Amino acid sequence: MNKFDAGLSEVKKSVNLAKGLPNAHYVDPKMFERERDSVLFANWAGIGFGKDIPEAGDVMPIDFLGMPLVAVRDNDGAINVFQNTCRHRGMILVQEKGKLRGTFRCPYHSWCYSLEGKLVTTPHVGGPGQNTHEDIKRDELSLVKINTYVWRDVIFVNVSGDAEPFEIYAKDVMERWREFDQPIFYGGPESSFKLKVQTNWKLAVENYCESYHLPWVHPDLNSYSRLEDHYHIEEKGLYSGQGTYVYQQLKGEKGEIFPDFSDLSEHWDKGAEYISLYPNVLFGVHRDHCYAILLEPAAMEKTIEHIAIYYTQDGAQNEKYSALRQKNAAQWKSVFVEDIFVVEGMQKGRHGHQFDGGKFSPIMDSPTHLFHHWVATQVGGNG
Amino acid sequence: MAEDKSTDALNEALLNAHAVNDFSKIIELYFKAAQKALSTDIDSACFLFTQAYVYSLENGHPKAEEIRDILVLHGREVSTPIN
Repeated sequence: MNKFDAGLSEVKKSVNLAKGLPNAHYVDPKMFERERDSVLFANWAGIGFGKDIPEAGDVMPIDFLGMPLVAVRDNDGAINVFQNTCRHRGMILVQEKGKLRGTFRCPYHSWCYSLEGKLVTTPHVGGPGQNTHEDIKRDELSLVKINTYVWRDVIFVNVSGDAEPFEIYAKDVMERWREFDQPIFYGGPESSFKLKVQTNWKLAVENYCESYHLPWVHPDLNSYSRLEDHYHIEEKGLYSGQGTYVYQQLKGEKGEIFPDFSDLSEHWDKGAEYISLYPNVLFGVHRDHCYAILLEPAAMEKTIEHIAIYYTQDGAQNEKYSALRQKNAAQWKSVFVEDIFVVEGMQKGRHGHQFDGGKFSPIMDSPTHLFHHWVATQVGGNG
Repeated sequence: MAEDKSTDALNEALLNAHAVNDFSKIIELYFKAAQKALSTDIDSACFLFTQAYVYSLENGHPKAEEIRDILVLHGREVSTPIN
């Protein structure tokens, strides 16, 4: 057992006996690389939003933990993600977000690929004016396609290519929120923002999982959403989070509220749920809007939180809700900003050499422990 | 000498078109030059058709299939579907 694995058996104990992940998981660059491969590349990680490439030909390069990827919406409306690397000399294909009018064209020697990644032409590859050669087999030289699935407008990828299909990976949470399996519409530029946080990405997940901190970090919630109004959401090895029984719809100056999603059951009249879908996507659903937070692990101690808020079509596009959309985004931003000092503070605390991973509350921290347990299992196996 | 002048004129026109990202013009210039060369120098013609083909592919230009078929006819390309 190496130094990294020594503490993992403690993490895998039941919550009342377990310790949190050892400090190395938050401060050691070697562990960052190990988690890149075994946690983020080996599973289904979120890398972007469909709303950022809404039309056919829209393309955006994504640096995912140093891995150059490119997402493109094809002519059928599907989103494809490829390794952003030409099969010829390894040149980066797309440097900037934009729109492809036809094929990808490598800017180096102009090998061209379709939006589905197929190699269409290899100009002058057999000499000037000769675009074929017997040893250039185009069907073997497509762009490297990354397993991709779009759920609730989040683009998920499995970089390693060997995870189970997303529909199986996320089956339980998809089933849990089946009522919300209906069209959602991005609220426009006022409905997205990003926060740069000096923390390891996992601490943002951990904080999102539990309601224990709400009365202290979000005191405004106490007026209508007390700690006892919340419940844990716990699916071992899949996802965890929290729910509330007392969601109150936001109201505008004239008392207007966003229209509801269709055919929701009574539970959602005042219910709302907040789930961390492992590894790095945080979701929230309510009767009238929902959101996703992508945690971009920019570095060991640097995370960029990308937030996008969605509504019904009317709620997203009707001008009469414009001010309410802005108010909603501002309200969520203030909540998420309130969490920054916590996740940054925990990051600093993780440099304490004598910190042993921490002692969980057996009652209040179980959703967070589930995430620690899952990470430990991914990094260290099931032993 | 006349050929040199013609080449110079093509190059200048191409540079001007590239300078303003006028890809329709670039495709047209390469295509016309290729057609002109077709009767005298098949290699030069196919080089120029290839240039026109690449830019038509990149820009979703309707001439792409026509150019590809010319190149296929001369054994310089295969009938890879464009989309």
